[in-house]
Amino acid sequence: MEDLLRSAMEHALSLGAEYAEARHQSDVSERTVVKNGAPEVSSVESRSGFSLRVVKRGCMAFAAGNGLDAAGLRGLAAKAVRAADASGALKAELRMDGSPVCDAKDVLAPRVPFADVPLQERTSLLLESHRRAADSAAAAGCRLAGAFMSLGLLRTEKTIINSDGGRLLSSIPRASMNAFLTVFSPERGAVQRHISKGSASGWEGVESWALEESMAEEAATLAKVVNEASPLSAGRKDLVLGPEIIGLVAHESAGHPSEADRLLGREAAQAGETFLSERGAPRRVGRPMLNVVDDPTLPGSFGRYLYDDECVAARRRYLIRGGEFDELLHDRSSAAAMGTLSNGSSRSLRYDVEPIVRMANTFVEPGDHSLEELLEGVKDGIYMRSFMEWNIDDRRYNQRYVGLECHRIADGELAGLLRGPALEISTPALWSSIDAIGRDLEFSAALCGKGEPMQGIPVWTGGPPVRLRGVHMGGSA
Amino acid sequence: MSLAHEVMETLLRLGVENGVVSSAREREVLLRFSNDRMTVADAVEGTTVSVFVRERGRKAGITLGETDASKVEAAVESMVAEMRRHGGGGSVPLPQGPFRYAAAAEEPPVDVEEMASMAAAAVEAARSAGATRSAGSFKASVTSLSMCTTAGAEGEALLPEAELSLRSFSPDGSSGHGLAVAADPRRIDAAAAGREAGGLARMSMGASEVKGGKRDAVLAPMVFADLAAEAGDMASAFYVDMGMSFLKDKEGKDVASPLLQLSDDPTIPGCIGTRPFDDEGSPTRRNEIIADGVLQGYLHNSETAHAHGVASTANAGLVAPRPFNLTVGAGKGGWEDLAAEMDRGLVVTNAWYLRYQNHAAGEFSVIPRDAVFVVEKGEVVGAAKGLRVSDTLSSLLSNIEALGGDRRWVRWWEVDVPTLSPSAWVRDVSFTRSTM
Repeated sequence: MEDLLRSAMEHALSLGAEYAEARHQSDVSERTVVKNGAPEVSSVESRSGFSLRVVKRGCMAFAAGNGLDAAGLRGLAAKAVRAADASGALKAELRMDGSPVCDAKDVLAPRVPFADVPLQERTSLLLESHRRAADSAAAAGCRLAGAFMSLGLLRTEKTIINSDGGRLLSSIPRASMNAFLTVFSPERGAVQRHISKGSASGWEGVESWALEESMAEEAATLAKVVNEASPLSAGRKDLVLGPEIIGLVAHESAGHPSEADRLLGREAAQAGETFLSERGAPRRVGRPMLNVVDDPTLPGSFGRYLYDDECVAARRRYLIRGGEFDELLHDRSSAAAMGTLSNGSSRSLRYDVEPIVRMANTFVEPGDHSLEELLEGVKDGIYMRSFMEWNIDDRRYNQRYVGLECHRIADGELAGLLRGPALEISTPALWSSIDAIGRDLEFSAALCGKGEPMQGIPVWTGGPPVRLRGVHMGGSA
Repeated sequence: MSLAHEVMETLLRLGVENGVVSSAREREVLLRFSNDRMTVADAVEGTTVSVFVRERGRKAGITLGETDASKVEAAVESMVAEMRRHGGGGSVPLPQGPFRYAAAAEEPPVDVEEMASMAAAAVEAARSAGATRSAGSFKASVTSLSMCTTAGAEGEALLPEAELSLRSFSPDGSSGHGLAVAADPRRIDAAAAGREAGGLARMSMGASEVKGGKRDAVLAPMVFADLAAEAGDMASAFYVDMGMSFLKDKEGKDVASPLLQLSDDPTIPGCIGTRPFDDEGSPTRRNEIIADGVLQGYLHNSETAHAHGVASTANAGLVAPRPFNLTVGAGKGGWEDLAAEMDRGLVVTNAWYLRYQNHAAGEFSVIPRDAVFVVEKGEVVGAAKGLRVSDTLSSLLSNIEALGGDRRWVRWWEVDVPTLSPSAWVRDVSFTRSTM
């Protein structure tokens, strides 16, 4: 394999490329789906192939194909160089930085290989999870009106070399579970929830989620929301955000604004830019105890990798340090453009898409408060534990989170459920409103969408509960 | 014998009750540019083979990036054996072929140098229209598809697509989006897309914060296409059955203004969503989804149709039926004409990031981006920023006051399904904004 890649890379260099990297990637994904309590489909998707990425006279190009032999790979290299030559009037001045590159292996061996778990066992787990969720809703006088549960088992293997001496062999298994539940009461209507779980692991990751219990609890909570939640009047409140929501905030409002390719305008036409590039944008957005980090090296995390697709070692990056926006996420070309070095943020989803700047596992670092201590300090407020609707503008400045499981806080105690309160707030206002950070860190799994074509890449989002003071909450019907 | 037919031999030998084999060869060029410079030029080719089997109450599928028939056949044998260990009950038969299909489209050229010249023309046009910088993508692809089923359907199709999407910025950061979509890249008017993006960026300079609340709004084609595509997706019987559609239990009922006509029509010659057959081999056809504001029915494959007691609408999706090529009926005039009649309100030229609080209720929000104009006494008097549409699909579709005659094909990052949409003047749209 490496000989094939090296031959193609050298062919690209012989055609005038100043930089070339060659990659073989294989992604084998198995999926089991249960819909409304019945097996829907089981599927296997196997995609593998080669890619060449080159820089020639400041222009970058990427070519990919599958089913190729040595001659086909050299043709792929020629195609990449030809594409780099085609820029014409749009000629660029791009280069790669001088980051040290690795000669390394990153092989994560699963404790329980996916192949050891027969299809029937996977299907049975989802069917039992559905049954438990349905029972749970029924026990509360509601009905599980719709349920989609999907179990995904993925193995990604990459061989990458580049003309700066980088060499990486990696093999990472990932397990994921997605569910969409609708709990309905004829008298009070329906609520819905997406649930995502994921880890870099074998089947042991699935076992750790205790899906049957988890789905039963989720349905019970939704039934309580249906039965008990009451409307909220708009107004200024103290707000405690649970790990699920502050994790998403960390991803959307610290991670995305800190992607250097956004700052440089590379993503301007699709997922957008960042308010941090605007004149007068605040660097300090929070109190000194606020740290938001992105760390690809967390063991078992959904976004785990030790070396990126440009063969640069991964490490923890402080996006917000001591309340100030600090480090950007870089690949080698964005680092070169900004006169710094890559911090190993370059990832691609499949063999046929280019690596771009991505987050991995983004979270608020824990503080020292228990949840009870966070609540104790609130006279009249809201504890927002989960959400359904959210979005944020393409500068990552104006965002909205609509709560799903939300509790009223009265004199430091939980005092009943609220229906759909909305937090609509700017990024600096959100971070600067935090006055206390909890100590119990939790993560959620997600697929982060970015790029053209869209690459939905595995990430974790996380944090401990945090307390915000005096934020304006939109009311609910 | 094609790869698809070789694999079908295996399914027949195994005695599979219902099976579909398709092989696709795709060739794509994608140019991405930013700050008026080429960011990356992509050239991708690949072959995939997909096999789907349905029997004895179970469904299974494999998709392989593989051209070696023996490897595909081995994978198929393994899949069928595993499925047969657990199956029980009956399965809905696939639509019985053979069928006759519309003739395949002609293959357009996809040339990286020619496309780079067109992208440069778009950037230059945007600059001439007042933009200081532009970013975007220009992609063109051709997929050669071969399909056969155990029920005797077999067909070939050529699916060409081209899409130029351009976002231009003025010195104060205001922006405009230009779009051109066609099956054949030679039919892309790159300069027009550039002029549109640059012109909107210039017009929206000096945007100011405006208050939220209920306002009349003209939703330009890129925005209304987003809503129409959501309605089209939610017409899929799969999502209806999952409780993920505001159209559940609404067949034959009013779901929109009587002005709204929404169809799925993959038979229109020369569109990017045009295709001769669906994923089960049924010949595609035009399906009315909403006529005069009334929901006509759901989109079905053979399995959802059987469950609902109707015939397939030839919208398979092997698991979930889906629209291929949506069209919204036209009214008169462009967004400027609708704004002139509106008297007072907003014009939203683009929106993205649509997310639901409740799919069944159609409660969602979506963020206007790029140019938003303030209209008073029928005149554009300024530009606005920082708003969000927080409403329900039912309300927006029911409150259509008028539709424009400015229909255009929309497909881009936000809108997956090609949608021919006009502008729409909608009463009492709920806008919200950050208050801190």
